[in-house]
Amino acid sequence: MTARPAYIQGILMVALTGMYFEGACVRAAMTIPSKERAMAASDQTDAGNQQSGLPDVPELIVSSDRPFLIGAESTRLTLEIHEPTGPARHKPLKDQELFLRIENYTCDKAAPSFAVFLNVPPGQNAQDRNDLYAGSMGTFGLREASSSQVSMAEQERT
Amino acid sequence: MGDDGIFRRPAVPQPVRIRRDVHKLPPGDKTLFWYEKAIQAMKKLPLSDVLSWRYQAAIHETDGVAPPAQRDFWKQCQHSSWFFLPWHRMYLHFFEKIVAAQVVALQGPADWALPYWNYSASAASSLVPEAFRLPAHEDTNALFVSKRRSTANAGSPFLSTRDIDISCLLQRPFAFQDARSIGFGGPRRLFHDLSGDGGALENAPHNLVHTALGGNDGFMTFPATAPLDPLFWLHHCNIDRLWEVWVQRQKQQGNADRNPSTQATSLPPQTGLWRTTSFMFHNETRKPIGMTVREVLDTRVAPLSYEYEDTSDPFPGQS
Repeated sequence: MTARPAYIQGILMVALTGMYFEGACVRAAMTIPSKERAMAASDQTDAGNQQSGLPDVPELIVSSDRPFLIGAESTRLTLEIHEPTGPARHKPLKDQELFLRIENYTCDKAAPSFAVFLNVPPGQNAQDRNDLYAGSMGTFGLREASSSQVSMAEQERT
Repeated sequence: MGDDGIFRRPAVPQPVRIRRDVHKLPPGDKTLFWYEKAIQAMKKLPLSDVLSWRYQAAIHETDGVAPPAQRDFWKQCQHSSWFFLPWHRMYLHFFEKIVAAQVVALQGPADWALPYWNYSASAASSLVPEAFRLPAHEDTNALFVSKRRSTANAGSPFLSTRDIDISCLLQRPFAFQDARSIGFGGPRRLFHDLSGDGGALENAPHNLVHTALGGNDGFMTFPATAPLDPLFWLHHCNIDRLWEVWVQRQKQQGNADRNPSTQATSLPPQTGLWRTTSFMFHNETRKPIGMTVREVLDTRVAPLSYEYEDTSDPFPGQS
């Protein structure tokens, strides 16, 4: 998924909350965003992207250091944001558009959708802070996609 | 018959059908009555019949490997791709024609059209329409399936405001391929892949409504069973309508990136690929037909020939 944080300061706290479905969990990783992918795409802009005014080359400013599990209970992650030092260094972070990506997520049984909140203060219930809601992760087809990814990985190994 | 042995439809004008809001059908309207009768008839057909209920679902996805004869027709659904919207538009079109032909065969009207479920309009409209819940017996009501979340079938609220949020309409451009934009329609990809990012509309409300209605083990939660729920088709009809709402918004605002099209001054090669890519279906007379994306960009002209009761902008003046 991609979500646009309303604002990001030095520390980004991400809360992911399952809406229902007990027992399901999702394995995921998080980036803001992938520099390699951005660089690869930088020479493929089209008219639409040019019109949108987005910078040509985004910069990865933080990523989770390992996959994490998302369950029915709220999952919280803390990411330390760095000021850009690469292609995006020409503007202060507060003036830039930031994208939060939760990627490479998999599951082995039906999973719910997950709501993503940013900077929910400790002790507060994310579901009570709609003002900090960033977006939702849909999981339709995720179980099937996960099994095909596993199958592809197994084929590559053999 | 074309040189490639594939039947192609004649380019003749057709009456424009009106797809209506299921929650606003007037008292006495027979749209759902005939939909239910047609589904009953389709369920009686064997899986090998392209007009059968189960064959129509297998076009989207099915467990296991498609038999050789169905390799070009089953397991064709496009997700997480810029073909998500055009492929499902074609899928709805052929399904609608098949149901409409069944309705006529059952002595129903000739202008039957698929209704849409605009769950985002109000709290009342987010509920499962009564005809799909009652009577709650699959043998006597083909619109009812038990494989839904129990709260949905009880007529209780089951969709959160986040599930049915349509701020996807504010996204531009249509297609994306990197981390800079979520885009409206999906990433540039060739054939379908259920993994990875989808466009804004595919993520919400499309994906979220699927799993919210299906719950843990309901039909709508899984691509292989989702079309077995008669509400699948009304859900996708609404997704298709939202695409049309988005296009009209782009026109109103004078944006060139309404769809990957000749409107852009500098066209990447992929844009032509999007418009000329074709997918195979069967029509209501069981003839195989290839349809290109270019053919489904204007719903009001043949071969589609339909329009929506309401494509008004829910965010007027907001870019």
